[in-house]
Amino acid sequence: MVINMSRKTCIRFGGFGGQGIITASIVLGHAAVVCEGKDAVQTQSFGQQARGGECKSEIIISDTMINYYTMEKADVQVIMSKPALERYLDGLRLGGCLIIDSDIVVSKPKRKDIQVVEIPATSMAARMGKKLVANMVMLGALIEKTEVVAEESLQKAIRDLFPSVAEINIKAAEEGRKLMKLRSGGKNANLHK
Amino acid sequence: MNKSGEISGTHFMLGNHAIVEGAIAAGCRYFAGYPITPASEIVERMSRRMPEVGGRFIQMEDEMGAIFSVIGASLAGAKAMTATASAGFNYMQEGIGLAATIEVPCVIVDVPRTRQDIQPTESDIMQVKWGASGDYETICLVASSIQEAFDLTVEAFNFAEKYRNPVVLISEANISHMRGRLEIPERNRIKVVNRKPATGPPEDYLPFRAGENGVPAMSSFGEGYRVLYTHNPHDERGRILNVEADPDGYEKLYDKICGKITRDTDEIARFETRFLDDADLAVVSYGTESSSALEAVIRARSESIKAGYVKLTTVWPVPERLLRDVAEKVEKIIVPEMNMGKYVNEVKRVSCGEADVIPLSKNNGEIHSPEEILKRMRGESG
Repeated sequence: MVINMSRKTCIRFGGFGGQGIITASIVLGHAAVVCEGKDAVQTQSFGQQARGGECKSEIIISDTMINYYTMEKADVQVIMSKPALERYLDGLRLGGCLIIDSDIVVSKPKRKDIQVVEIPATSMAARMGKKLVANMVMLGALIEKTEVVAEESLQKAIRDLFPSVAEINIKAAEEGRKLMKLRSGGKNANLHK
Repeated sequence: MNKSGEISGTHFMLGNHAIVEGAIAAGCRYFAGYPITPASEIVERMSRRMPEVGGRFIQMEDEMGAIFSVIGASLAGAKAMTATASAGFNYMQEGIGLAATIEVPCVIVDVPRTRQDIQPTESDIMQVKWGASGDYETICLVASSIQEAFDLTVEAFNFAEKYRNPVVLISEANISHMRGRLEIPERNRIKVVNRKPATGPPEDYLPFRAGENGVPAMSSFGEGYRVLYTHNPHDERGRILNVEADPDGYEKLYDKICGKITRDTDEIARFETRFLDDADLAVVSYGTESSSALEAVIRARSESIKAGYVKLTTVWPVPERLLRDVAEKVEKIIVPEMNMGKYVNEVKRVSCGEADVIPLSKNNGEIHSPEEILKRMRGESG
């Protein structure tokens, strides 16, 4: 994989508590930092409910040291609930990429100045027998689109963090990558400033 | 994980967890706490990690119980820590005052939060120094990254042991709840300081006689030395002294307790400076505000504003020599803070009018954006 050395990517995940929104960002951070030696910072916010409340996780991944931790605008948003779509839409930069779980978010985003990719992650995860891995489907789609970490790094991160259920999560990420490939018809090098 | 349960290498870790690993690396083997958001992950991880490294964990009935339990453990020879957040830190003041008076090494992690909610704030920055009654000194370090959360916890223990004093580590809520890159060095590459033990015949031992650097050698309970601890003023033996009967003894006691820290201010001062050489305006910050401050200074430089960056890692005792030097060098100092404007008064005091010290306060649970700091810099440098 060719790495542009000044590359810095801001990714925001949004959805409901219980979907593994924060988990997805932790896996991504582990892949970037531990497996690839990059710098990353991740922050989160969530309601008091364990499940069902609004949940957001933001991660900045950079090839160089990150000084400023707060995300101003996201380059990519991974959205798994309708409230999250509406709440964070303005936080996506011009020309940024919005990846939505089209099984959950049926309404169309109002902005025209962004790229939108629909991934039926929850139904894919259900077909695999575990709806819980929908977050990994989305994560697989994300890395296919952005190349923010390599596929092998993502797999290693999943093995490091969830050794007992690694296989189904790796499979889910792989399915996500395939879904993205079908939809976007290739990678998008312009995603990074 | 090595045989003794310690970990090393590269991690993507939560700030609160990095604090726990820093404590373990420094030799902490006793933790007592009462969970409170946003410090709970420290308590939670300690409950798992202490048994793994051969230490003890106890969840106490409240914060007072926690601090006194930590003091007891330290007097018995353990390196001990507790963690809490603003409201819980209030309750600990009596214990902190006691620990300072009877010279107990211990570490208190404070994760300041806004009242009622869990947003970051710097409103408690003065309380850390002035919270308890009586004359005493606190050493306080503030973490501004995940790596610092680890490194400064080690440093906090080292200062506590070296000076026989409570040390407060501040990790603002957004650092505590942030995940980031952490490099944990191999155990033999981490500098660890241990308290100076009592030596010589027990009958000659005076538990509060100032030793090297004004710090008394310390005997743990059960080692055969006679030790007496009281929050009251005491002589070198530990017997209560009365200020009316012995005003000189009283004065000498507090000179010793405070002097061992104040005399070593330069030694304790940890800070980072950048772009100061030709600066005529400096931003002095601590904690997470320094991440915005650095970004603002970098952006200001690209606009040809001659800005410098000063990050205070040690906030107490105030790094006076550094701040005086900065004040002599620049014309203006901007102090961004997440409170009504508090530490800025310390900067003013130390500057002695050499520079115009300007508060930049924000008190709504959010850190300044680089743009907000930059805007003020543009205004001041015009």
